[in-house]
Amino acid sequence: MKKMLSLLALTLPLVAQEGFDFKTLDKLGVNSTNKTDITLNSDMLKLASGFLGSGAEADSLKPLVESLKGVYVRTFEFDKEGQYNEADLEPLRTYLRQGQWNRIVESREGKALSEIYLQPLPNNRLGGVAIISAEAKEVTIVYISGNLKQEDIQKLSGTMGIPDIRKQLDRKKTTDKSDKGKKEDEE
Amino acid sequence: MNDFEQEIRSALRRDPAPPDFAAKVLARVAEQEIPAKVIRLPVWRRPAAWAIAAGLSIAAIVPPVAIEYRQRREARALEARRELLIALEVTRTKLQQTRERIQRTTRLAL
Repeated sequence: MKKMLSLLALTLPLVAQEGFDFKTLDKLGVNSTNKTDITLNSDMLKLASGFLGSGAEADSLKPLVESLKGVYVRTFEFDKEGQYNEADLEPLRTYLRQGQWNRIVESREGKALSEIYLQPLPNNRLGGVAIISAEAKEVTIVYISGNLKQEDIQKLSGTMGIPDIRKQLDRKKTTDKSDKGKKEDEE
Repeated sequence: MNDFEQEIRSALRRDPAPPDFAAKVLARVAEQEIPAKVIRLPVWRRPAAWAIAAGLSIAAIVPPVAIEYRQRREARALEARRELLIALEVTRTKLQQTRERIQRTTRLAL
């Protein structure tokens, strides 16, 4: 019994550190018209890292992706204002506070709120970055954990090393359309 | 010695075998030689048949399974890559928006 209790005592802190339960944010999206739900654990990130391709952009991005442990993005878009309850963001804030994350930015402009959190680690490293962006018709939560360098945050905030997904998606749409056109011509 | 005894003695007398006796016996034996008994198992009970069947089955099953596995893995990786790029794009956009918001509010405050 004593052994069981000591084992439980040892595992409880580990479970507590395991991570934030993003399902608690589902309430935010009940009235949403569009939502983005991205959950990438370290295995998926490794898998993705292997398919980043080659070239300067990919070479710059690979070390950053390899240092990540998890990437979680939740975006909820609404038709009208007041379709979500800001209090539903509280579980995440509480988790960040308990995990010794530092809120480095809190910016409010009208109904728009932005919060940026960083988790400091020894040797000028960062355990992750979290962003809460709550606007009138859109809520976005970004939670990135890993073992990051200070300059990785610059990489994340700038264009440095991160391929423009919009360009890539547009390119894909164009190729899809041209493929369709070709097929129609053939028919 | 009476006649009866004489008769028995002549009947039991050792006669030499005819000179071609041994050759005749050998010839007869050769004629009637029984072929060695070969046990013929049905095809489906032969170990070699089983081995070949197993080999063919593996050769038929493994490559498509391996290809299917590789294709699924590749599809998962491409999906993960797409999601990663979207996540990074969202992160960048939100960080930039926050930066711009701070700059605006700071300017207004000044």
